[in-house]
Amino acid sequence: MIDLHNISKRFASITAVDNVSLSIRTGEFLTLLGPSGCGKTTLLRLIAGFESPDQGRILLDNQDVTSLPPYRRDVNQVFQSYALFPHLTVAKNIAFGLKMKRLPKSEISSRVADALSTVELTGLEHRKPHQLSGGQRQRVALARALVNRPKVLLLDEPLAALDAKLRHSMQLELKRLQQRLGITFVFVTHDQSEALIMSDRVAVMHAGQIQQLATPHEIYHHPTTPFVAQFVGQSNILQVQLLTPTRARIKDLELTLPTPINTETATLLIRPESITLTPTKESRAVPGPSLSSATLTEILFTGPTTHLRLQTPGGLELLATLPPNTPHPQIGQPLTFTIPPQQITLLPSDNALPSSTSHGRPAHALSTPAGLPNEWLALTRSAILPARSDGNGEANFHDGLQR
Amino acid sequence: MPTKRPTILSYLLMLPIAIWLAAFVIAPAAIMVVYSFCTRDELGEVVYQFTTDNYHRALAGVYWSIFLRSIELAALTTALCLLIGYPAAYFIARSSPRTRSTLLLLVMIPFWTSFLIRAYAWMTILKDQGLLNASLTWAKLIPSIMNPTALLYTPTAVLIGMVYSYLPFMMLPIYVSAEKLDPSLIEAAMDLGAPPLSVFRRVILPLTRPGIYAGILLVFVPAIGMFAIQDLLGGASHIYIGTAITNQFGLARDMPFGATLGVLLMLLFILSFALLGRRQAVWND
Repeated sequence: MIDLHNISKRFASITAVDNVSLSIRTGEFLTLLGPSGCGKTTLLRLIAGFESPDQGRILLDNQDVTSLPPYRRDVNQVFQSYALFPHLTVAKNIAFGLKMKRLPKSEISSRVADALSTVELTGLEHRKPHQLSGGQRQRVALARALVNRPKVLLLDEPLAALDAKLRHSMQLELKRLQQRLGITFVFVTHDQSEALIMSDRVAVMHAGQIQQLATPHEIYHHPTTPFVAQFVGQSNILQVQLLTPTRARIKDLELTLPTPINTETATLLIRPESITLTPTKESRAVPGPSLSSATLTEILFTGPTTHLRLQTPGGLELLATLPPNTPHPQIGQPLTFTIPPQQITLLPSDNALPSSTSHGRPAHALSTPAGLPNEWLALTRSAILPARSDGNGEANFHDGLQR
Repeated sequence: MPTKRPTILSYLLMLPIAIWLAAFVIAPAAIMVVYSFCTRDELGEVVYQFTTDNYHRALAGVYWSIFLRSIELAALTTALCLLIGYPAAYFIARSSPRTRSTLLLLVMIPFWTSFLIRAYAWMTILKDQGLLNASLTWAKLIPSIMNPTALLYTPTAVLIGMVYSYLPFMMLPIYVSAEKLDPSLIEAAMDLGAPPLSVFRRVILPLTRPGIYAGILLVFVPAIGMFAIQDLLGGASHIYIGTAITNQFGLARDMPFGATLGVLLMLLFILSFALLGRRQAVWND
């Protein structure tokens, strides 16, 4: 439906989009995910026509639209701030695009009525935007775009301004709406849980480039770069020394690898929920190579899940998830844990992650990796921690346990 | 949101301005109204004897044309200020914050000099052997400085002076409303298929309308009463209502009749305020 060929866009000295090629399929829900400043919004604005690329071509339905102004492109956008016309009523806001197309009055009014009922706002057509709640404005913005039956709907962080509860219900509602209407959605967000819940495919962006384009499941379980591993979900990223092709070591932690590797070092991803905890008392009798011990240094309670920060005697910090329905352990309490080999993901050694840790220090998102912009960190913290409360993280947690 | 009831303190804080308005706006206006129904003696002193003669005199004959000419000049001034000022104000509001403050400063700088001095400056520009005619000669648009285009002491000179004086008063309120305009609304309109002209007509214009109304009031109302520009740049050929009123108080020593003209002018202002104010109220709803 949309084909981007080698798109680049620079603003002064900043390269916002760096040679991006992307093929968006008809009828899919594609999310551009990344921290602020990664170029996702610029990419969306390039598709909408608000910016023109310095280089590359944009095809919409096999037609070159690179030089077409926004009002000649058959795409519509839902803006982050909604951008409802404050001087027009709800009905006139929704009718705006149809009026521009010079459709007959009767058709305009029937399509506006349809759109209003689609977003469940029937009865509010004569209100002005300032008389609506945030959620209602969001729906008007959606109706105003959808009523034009665009080939592609672009959504620029449309849920960012809603409170958490409303945001979660709108996520599901948007997803169902997209499936029902069959319109291609291109959705921009910095919220990784939103991306995982809603999308058919996710494009994770960093520094103007697409790091990985895959299904949410792939992105979470098989990230191809350390950046993706760290940005999506919570992670322990460990730079290990290989002892044998299947045996690796970092500080005092020894790990068995799922597949043999023939390098001296490797970067491993271990999700917190992949670390299986066992209270020390029960397992003291069975010290084996797979069982390691650590001290609990911090408890991070997020509601449905609880994360534990562990420290091994050798000073390695790890983030683990407490299994559900387990009483909270005490800080300072010794714990033992195992890391099943099949739960370890091998990351290609990539320099995209500046924080790829000083040797032996895990770069999970809750610590402060050196070299990352502060803004990015603040974002990851706020985006990742509450994200666990949406049920999705928990599902993954169970996935992790059952394997 | 429930509005907080004003406290005693807030009334106290309003007291200085209330006293000011009572002493310097309401009282003089009341005196004017009283004078307009009085007569005068031979020496020009006001005689408190009720009469409506002043109004009969003002509404008959020559003063109608003076009023109309003044309204016409004020309307033309307002229209030109709007035409020149709107694009400029919009451009300033849409430029980057740095450029914006520089440009606003440029708009304000003329106010650092006395208004009269600026009017005299226009005289040196517009006079027969002035800057403008010299430039036109140099550009070979007129054959010789000895055959200049007459500008000073013509209605055109008055209009130039008026537009020059009132342009900032049109630009500032338009700038304020254009600056508040969310640029994503313009993008939204384009996104919904509106070409630039429709974007202007359906989104930008309606949303900057409060600024336009404020600008019109700020220019039109004082422009009707203006007399200095006409006196300095217009000469004696055409008389405007401002000049007529000053003449009654000064040369003619007929304060009651001057007051009558003033009261009529005031009624005109009240009327235009009421009209525009109502339109604005309708918009704000």
